[in-house]
Amino acid sequence: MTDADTILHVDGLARHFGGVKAVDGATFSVKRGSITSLIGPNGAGKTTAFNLVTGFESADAGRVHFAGDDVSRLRADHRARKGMVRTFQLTRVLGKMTVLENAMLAAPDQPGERMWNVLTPRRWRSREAEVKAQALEVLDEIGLSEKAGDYAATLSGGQRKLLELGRALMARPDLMMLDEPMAGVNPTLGRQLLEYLDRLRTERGLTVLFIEHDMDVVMGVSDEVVVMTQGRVLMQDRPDVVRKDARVIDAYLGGADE
Amino acid sequence: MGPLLAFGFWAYVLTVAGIYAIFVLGLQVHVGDTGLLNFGHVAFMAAGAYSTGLMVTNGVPLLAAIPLAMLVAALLGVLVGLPTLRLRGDYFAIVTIAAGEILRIMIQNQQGATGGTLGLRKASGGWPSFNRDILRWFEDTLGIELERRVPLLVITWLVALVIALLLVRIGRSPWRRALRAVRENEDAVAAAGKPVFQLKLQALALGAAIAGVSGVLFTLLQTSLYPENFEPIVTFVGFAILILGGIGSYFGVVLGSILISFIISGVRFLDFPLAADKVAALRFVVIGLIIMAVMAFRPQGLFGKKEELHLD
Repeated sequence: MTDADTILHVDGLARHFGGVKAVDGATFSVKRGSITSLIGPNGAGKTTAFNLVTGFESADAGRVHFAGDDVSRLRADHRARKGMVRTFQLTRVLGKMTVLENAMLAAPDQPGERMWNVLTPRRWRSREAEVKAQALEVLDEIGLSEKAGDYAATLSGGQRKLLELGRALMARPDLMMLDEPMAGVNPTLGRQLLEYLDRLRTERGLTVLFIEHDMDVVMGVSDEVVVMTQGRVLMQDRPDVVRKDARVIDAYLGGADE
Repeated sequence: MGPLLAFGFWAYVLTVAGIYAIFVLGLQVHVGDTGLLNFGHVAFMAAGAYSTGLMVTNGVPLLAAIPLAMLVAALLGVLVGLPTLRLRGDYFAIVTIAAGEILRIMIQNQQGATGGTLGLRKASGGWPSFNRDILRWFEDTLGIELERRVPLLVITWLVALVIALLLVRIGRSPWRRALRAVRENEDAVAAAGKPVFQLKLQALALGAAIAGVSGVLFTLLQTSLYPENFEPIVTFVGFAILILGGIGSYFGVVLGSILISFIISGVRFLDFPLAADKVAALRFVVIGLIIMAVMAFRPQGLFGKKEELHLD
């Protein structure tokens, strides 16, 4: 079902809320090292699909394979530790913690996060220094280094999006799943971020799956596009193919609110 | 000498304040650090107190019983946490208050073991004779005649100080950062790959163990234990201390404990044309007024961070 080139394979994923079929048998896959976008009209089930893939909601049916393993039954935090890290459409910042602490939280392999190590700082102090240096680097990349000492709650909507992205990067993911990362971010910075993600793809083999409504961005950066509508995957192909497909044009024209 | 001036009485009040300080330091770990709205905190104090009492009355030496009592309280924390920590904050609050009452009523009904409402006598084991030894040593060696409550007063506050210092030290650790992150947003913590449930369970166990220590000291102070010592109001006095001192501040807990204990004890000296039981009830009116005044004029508490109030 999965080969070495596929980092994520989602098969027959379904989630119903009462009578509403938010996700209704979605099947798609993401190639390792690709930038794949997930598009579809509002209510197509994109965010629910994200929640199911990352374990933030439990699926009624279907399987999620990540890096060759079936992760369908794992808790969200366990899936994240395996390298599948997400951001949220409605940002989840840690308001009463500083921007720097928000970023530092996500760093993996910090022995000081274990309860029995709290009173022996020599076991985690050096790692903490590394984490801090990395966090400052990431904050610099996302343009928030001047805000490092501020409470995250004081950030604007766009800055919160950036901070979430930074926090996700700190987790050193293999697959980064971004839910509308550009919403509320100014276009110049948005382009810089895309370039940064592209660089990480080249440098560390990062894979990106993102939900986005801006078709210029989608068509400009994606290797592949997954189109969802009414809880199902309509098609998955290269952007130039998707752009010309009559069903996609139909689906979008049908969703007049796009 | 009237009770208002009796040193022994105020030594007693200050010891109670120290016990409350320890109790609320545990609550601070739950509420202030981790965002766990624990309304049944008194259960962990009861667990520490009664397990001390039951062990020493069955021949376990007091010094061995104390760490075991802490362990029992921590295990009770895990036991309460396992089924409830997946609940949303307000549901967790309801379940914890029920868990506290269940424990108290169980203690009340297990008359054979606990003495029920008649109380568990001699629950402090070897403490009274050890206390006499301390007093005699001071008199014989140093020529100082100590009031009999002073040794426990000093021990209580030393323990409170040690726990507060340990918590400050823990406060600088990545573990506590993760707890604070859980308080702020669990989804964000899970997305960062941190085990939210384990973190909450650990915080619950740590705070419960600290409350267990307060139960041990309470046992030494009172010698006899009664189920009515562990009614839900104890938890809410704890919350009053937390609110007055400032959520998130360990030093605030200490000062809040002293202030609230003096208020509770001081009310009895006010001369009201009321029956004694009504004067006793009045102390809770006073505590309610204090909480309201704090909320109105200094909502962050004495040592809370004001700038955090308006953030979310």
